[in-house]
Amino acid sequence: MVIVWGGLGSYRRALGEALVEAGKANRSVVVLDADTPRSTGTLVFAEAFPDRFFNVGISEQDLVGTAAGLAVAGKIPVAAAFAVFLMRAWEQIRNTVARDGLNVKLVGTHSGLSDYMDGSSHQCLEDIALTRVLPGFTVVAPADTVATKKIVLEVVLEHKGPVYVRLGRDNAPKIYDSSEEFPIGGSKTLRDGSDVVVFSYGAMLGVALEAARVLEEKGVSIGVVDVYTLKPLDVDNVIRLARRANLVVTLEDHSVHGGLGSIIAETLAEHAPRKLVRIGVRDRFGASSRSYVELLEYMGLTPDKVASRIMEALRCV
Amino acid sequence: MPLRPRRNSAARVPSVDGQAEAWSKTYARSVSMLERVAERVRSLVIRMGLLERSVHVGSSLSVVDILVAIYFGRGLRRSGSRPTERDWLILSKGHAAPALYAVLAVAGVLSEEALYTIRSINGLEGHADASVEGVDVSTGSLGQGLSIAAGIAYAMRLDGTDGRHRVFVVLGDGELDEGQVWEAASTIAHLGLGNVVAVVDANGYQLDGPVDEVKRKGDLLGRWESLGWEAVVVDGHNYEGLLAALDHADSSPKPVVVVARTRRGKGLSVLEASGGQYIGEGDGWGS
Repeated sequence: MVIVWGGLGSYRRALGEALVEAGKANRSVVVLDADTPRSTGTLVFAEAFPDRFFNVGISEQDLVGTAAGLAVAGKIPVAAAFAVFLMRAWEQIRNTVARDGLNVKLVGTHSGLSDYMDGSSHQCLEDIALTRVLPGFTVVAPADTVATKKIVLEVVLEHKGPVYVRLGRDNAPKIYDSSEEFPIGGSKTLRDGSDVVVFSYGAMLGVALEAARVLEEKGVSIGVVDVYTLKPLDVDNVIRLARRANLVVTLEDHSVHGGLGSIIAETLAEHAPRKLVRIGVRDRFGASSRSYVELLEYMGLTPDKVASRIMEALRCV
Repeated sequence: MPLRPRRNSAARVPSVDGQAEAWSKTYARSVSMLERVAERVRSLVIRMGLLERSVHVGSSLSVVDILVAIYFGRGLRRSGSRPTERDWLILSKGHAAPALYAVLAVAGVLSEEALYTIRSINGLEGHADASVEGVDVSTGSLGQGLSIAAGIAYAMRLDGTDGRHRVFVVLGDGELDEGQVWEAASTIAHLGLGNVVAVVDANGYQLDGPVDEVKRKGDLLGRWESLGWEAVVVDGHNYEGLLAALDHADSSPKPVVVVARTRRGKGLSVLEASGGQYIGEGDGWGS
């Protein structure tokens, strides 16, 4: 397994390619964007299927409502926008898409810290908290470009019902071979270990794997799990792995309040209480920076910093 | 009054369309019959309001003639089994659900008994809910219906049925405060979705008072026209005018908005006089 953390792969390019493939496979697939097709990656779909793409302009609430209408009328709408601006339409997502259980696929790009240069207004650290609370919603967050393509195709062509897909920008690690499959509702145990188990997803999965490599050199037995389906959670796997470890860690580029930190805390508290360290963004907004790695450094989310936090916590277990 | 045709036990969508279409064939253009239907609908709304005092009676009564004109006058048509092969009606002002439920009861889609379960556990939801047979889309949060209509109309274009079928959206005039209405109005005009018909139930009131006192609504026709809509204004309690406007919308290549001037509480003199929403004085608090 080759791990490259810190950004290389383009989630949005992978999204565009997956959408074109989905569009070829099913004529009911319609893609909508809110003036950002060059940023989200939907542009390639627009060029391939001009009749089945439209830009509603800078109006995310209308984006979600229009997608709802397309779903009501039997189409498979994919609505893409910067994650933080898609959340502007949270109430539309709740009251129209979720309440009627519509087959709408929402894709939030530029999530987490991926949009490092644009700063706190554009960095979405709350989208998982906001979507996982919606009844009937499925929430997925692919870690790399292979996972992005597979998961987007799966949720668009196979899965019925509302889905939120959380994507970054061009900060994808390289983790999976193209043969890997990602059934919705599953998780992937990428490393096994008895001292620590780290649950992560999205771009931070690369950081988790690199931190694990660093810690392994120091003699720590550490497992890493890709929780690519945040809802519904693969509860059995989480409990099984947590029970075997002395310390459980969550790692995410999202607020630990409402994100995977909360998800695992809730699950462990109910089923398998364990010492838990939640690493992510804690009750604050992001910030502009000149590079992605610089921002991760600033937020304490580089492999070295994550490894130190885990070592510290292990001393206290 | 023999106004309830037998209940059609077919699937949800066909039964509504079938009934409404059958009704429109029988009664279309018979203004006196439409008025009798409306009288029956109003009496059902008032009964719901007497039974459960939180029912939005004033807003429901103002929209009755609009809904009756669409359902029974113009009729909702169907040409096939796909969702794009039928007309749609979205009650964007979802708090007027009692009027829609009553129309569905008169059409035989819902039972009269069902109406009296309104706002009770396992009964009819307080706001329009798609789990209720005959309700196309859940609403209740204002400003969202027109966007949904845009999506349905675009799907019809993709399936080549936009020439045959219309998407009706009924909004309130207070609802025009919502920015999303104008996002959607722009989208619809820009994409040239000429099969969308918006009807504004302009009863002049919103929750906190007369619409222009709460926040100025501007030129109700001009706002739409400037975006590329055709706007017509009618008396929302006059069937000749309503049906003529709906006829016009059927032939217009542009999206049409019908601004229907109505009275809140129409048919119930105490509410007509006060512009109020609820039967009885209440405790002075809103819902």
